[in-house]
Amino acid sequence: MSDTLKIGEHELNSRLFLGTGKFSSTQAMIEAVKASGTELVTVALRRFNRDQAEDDLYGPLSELPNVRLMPNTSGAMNAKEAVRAAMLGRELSKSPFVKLEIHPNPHHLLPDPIETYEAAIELVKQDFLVLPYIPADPVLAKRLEDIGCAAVMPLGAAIGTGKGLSTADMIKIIVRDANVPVVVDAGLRAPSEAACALEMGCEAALVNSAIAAADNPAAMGAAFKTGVEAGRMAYNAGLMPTSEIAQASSPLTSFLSTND
Amino acid sequence: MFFQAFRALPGTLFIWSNAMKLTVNGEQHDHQSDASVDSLLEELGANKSHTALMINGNVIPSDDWKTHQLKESDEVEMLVFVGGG
Repeated sequence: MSDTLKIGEHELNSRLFLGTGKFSSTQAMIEAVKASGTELVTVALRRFNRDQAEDDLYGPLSELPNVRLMPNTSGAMNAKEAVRAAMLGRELSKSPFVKLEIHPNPHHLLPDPIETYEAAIELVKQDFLVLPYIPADPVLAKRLEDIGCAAVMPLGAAIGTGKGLSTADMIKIIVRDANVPVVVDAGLRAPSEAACALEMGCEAALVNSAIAAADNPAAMGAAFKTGVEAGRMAYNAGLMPTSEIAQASSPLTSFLSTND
Repeated sequence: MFFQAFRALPGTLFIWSNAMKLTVNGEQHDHQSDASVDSLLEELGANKSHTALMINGNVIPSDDWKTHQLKESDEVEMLVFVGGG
């Protein structure tokens, strides 16, 4: 049975989204993208600099088959700037996907929920597939779904911290109530955490730092691929219920005991 | 269409100049060739298929680059994709 991830009308075979920042080189990033099997990668906009032409990722990424671009709105301090960044990203990428992120405080990089909500309303009107990066807030997630976001992306932990699924309880509530895909975004460090997110019912995981900052980014990309696949398989298989008391899995008949 | 201006040098000498003063990515730029966006991108050595453009806060679609005319004091942002999460 096909188990593709559907975002809007688009179907993806991979449930791992990759960020392209922080890699030591473009080549290391490309190798990690390939090894991860991802079909959706985020990119950011920056001013053109003739002296740093090698930083331009459009060329290398556009050569990868089956990889779509999801421009982000990083750098936007408010809804107006985020909408502008999204329009520029779509103009360049020709992709309907946008990772909406507005985090004006550089110390914690936590998303501004009010500006994010306002920007999402406008971007949905402009026919974007809006994937907002949000705090793990079930109320906000539901409100963003209601206005037409294609998915919601609650954070596991603050960007780049590698603290894993610190918001797991809230993400479970978001998953339980959501009618759009839930993608855990930010904070993951280990493939087991991605697996855990998928086991909880998240439809995908977005990973950047954990792969880019690994000793071997390509190998870590492959490890996250396996982690996400295992988590999804486990979710589909149905996890056993938990129990407060032990329940033996082997017979406890006491044929080994004697009375001597 | 060329923008033409008298520019004063020290003393009283005036020369005829075709330069148009723009702000490109936050820096002053004297644009020398014709006023199309296309010519600005060529002048600055940008890869046109890898560049997005905003003028005075408005996104200019690439389909309009040949015809959109720059004006004196325009604020131009030229953007490319770089790594980001």
